[in-house]
Amino acid sequence: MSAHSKPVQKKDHFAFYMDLLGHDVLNNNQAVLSYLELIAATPGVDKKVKAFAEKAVSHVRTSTVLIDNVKRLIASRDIEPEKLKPIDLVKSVERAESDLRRHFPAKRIRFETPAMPKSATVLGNNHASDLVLNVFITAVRLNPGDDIVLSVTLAEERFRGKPAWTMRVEDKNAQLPPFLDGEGVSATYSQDISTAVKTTGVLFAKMLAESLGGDFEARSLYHDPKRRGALFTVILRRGEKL
Amino acid sequence: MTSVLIVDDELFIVELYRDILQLRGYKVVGTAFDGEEALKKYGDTQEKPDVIIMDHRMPIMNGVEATKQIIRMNPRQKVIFVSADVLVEKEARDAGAVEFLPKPFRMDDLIEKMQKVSLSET
Repeated sequence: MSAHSKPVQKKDHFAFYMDLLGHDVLNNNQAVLSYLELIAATPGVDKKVKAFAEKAVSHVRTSTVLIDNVKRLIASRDIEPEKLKPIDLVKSVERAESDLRRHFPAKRIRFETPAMPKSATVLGNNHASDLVLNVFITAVRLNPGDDIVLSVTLAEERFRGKPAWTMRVEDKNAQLPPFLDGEGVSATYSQDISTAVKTTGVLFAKMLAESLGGDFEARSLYHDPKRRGALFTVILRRGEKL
Repeated sequence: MTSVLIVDDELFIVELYRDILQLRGYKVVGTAFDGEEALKKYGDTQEKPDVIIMDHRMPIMNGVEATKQIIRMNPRQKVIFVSADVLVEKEARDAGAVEFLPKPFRMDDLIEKMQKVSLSET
């Protein structure tokens, strides 16, 4: 039996199409990605060509993540926060660190993780890991440099009167669009689409964090549009220790 | 030389696997574009491939079902399951796949799985 031979309800047509589209784009990206890797790995390839191929790899990977995000957001409409299973945020951060380096092979990425707890259980299934990786990718995409330093801290705090874990990611060279400085991420909805396109990553993080019963915010470190620096804050509900 | 059967409904993905694997010294002994064709080719071949690379979403018969039936024919057959649907990993492993590779994968990840599976005991 084919994987898609079940009848599809009309209300699910949109999700069905997005799933197919996502799958199709992903397959094509896979081919581009692998051929670029083959070019970069060809013996005797010019250094510059290799660097161009590595940059292209990052863009293909980002495009894959973007299309995946659309699929995830559609799936997130069915998330029931009270049914989410616990996951260790520390492990999600560790995994996302190595994924991020693979994602951007042309950039030199360093993590500063002072005083990381042994574990930080949050409610979020694998969505929480997706969220962490997306916040890291967003930070790198907003940083115009090739040397990236991400400072990550986890703190046990309260959110809406309930126990939560807060992850703060600071990048002193990331540049947020100035309109985020006032109302925060929600301000994106009132922007022209040509301006808002810079914030697909932060919007995704906001929507996913909210659907997990938590929150996300992105702020400039300095209230001065001439200075770079951004702080990304993810709040997720605390879960029972694993 | 390790022999491979590639099963995927996208021609360009089949060609991609072939390009990567041949470059790294593997022998592609066959290709199939859906699970049913894979079963037929597998059943008709005297000399079974060392490894099968199996996609999931395919017309007529999906990868999980094809893996189940191939393992039923030959419980020692090594299948590497490759799919963009990470949620299908458990089903694929339950069906008998020895490795699961989520898309998009890096070329080195595929080769690493190939080496691991080729060297493992049957």
